[in-house]
Amino acid sequence: MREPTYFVLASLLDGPLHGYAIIQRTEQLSDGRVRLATGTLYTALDRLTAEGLVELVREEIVNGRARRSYGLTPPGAGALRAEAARMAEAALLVTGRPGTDRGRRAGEGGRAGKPSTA
Amino acid sequence: MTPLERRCRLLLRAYPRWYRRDRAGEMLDTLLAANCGRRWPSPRDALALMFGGLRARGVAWYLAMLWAGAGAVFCGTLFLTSTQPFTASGVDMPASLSGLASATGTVTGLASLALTIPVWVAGSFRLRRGRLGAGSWTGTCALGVALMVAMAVCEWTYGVDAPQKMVCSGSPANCGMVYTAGPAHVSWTALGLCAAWLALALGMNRLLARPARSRQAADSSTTAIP
Repeated sequence: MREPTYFVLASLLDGPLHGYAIIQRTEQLSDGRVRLATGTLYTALDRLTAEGLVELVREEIVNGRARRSYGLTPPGAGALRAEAARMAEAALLVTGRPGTDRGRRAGEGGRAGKPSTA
Repeated sequence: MTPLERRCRLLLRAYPRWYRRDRAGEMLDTLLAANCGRRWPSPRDALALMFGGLRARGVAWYLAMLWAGAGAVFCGTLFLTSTQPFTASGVDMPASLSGLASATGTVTGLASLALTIPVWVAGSFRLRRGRLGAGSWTGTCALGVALMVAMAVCEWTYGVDAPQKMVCSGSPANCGMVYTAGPAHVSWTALGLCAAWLALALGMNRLLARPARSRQAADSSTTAIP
């Protein structure tokens, strides 16, 4: 799973969001690293919807335009959790080394293990 | 409508109509929110929309447009090199210009030649269950091949409709066209071929206007983690 995909799915953990809210939440969750362009977001949403990881939850009309909210499906939540566990395991290779200064520093900076606790 | 909204709408035209019908309102909403306070959408957004549009239009559309585009550019260089006020007045075309034209001609000629089969295969695959099916697609591709033959004939045998002749010095590799005309002339044939390629591109665009058949049903079980 690529990083933007991971953060898009993670942004939906607290409930369904519409397009711009996903962009904002993704940027916030990743400390500004993942800044999705609109076109990129909708390409990802198309793909994730086709794969059944994300679904259209509701549609409302705002300013005369459709505003759709997307939410995680159970398979989507499962895939996200599996990816988080995989990354936590990978991070443990480094952060779990006893007593090494380098390992401790990588552990502080590495965000890989964080989502697994969320 | 604000200038920003007008520009965003223009950018959204990178997507095919069937896609816009479903998504344009929603995407416009997001674009306007993401570019709030700007006069122009950000370059990142513009680029992402162009790539997203190409993606939505599909590989077959992309290849077909490259193919027809290469053919049109080839005819354009043919038009340029055979419509020569230079030769008419006994002045040679500047070496840099003629070098550029012949290089462009070679690249686009080879590209259109090389793309013929991939274009046909990709389009046939895409259209095999459409209302306008693989048959009309094959016909369109055959039209393109006929245009390429016409181009080749123009380029190598008759030299468009310019009064020119083939001159060889020594080996066949050293053959070249020499213009013998007096009055300046316009090679209408090359121009016509160029227009024919552009018309072909429009036709192909129409044929490929529908979305590719969705594969999600087959894929959904195997892609738990993308």
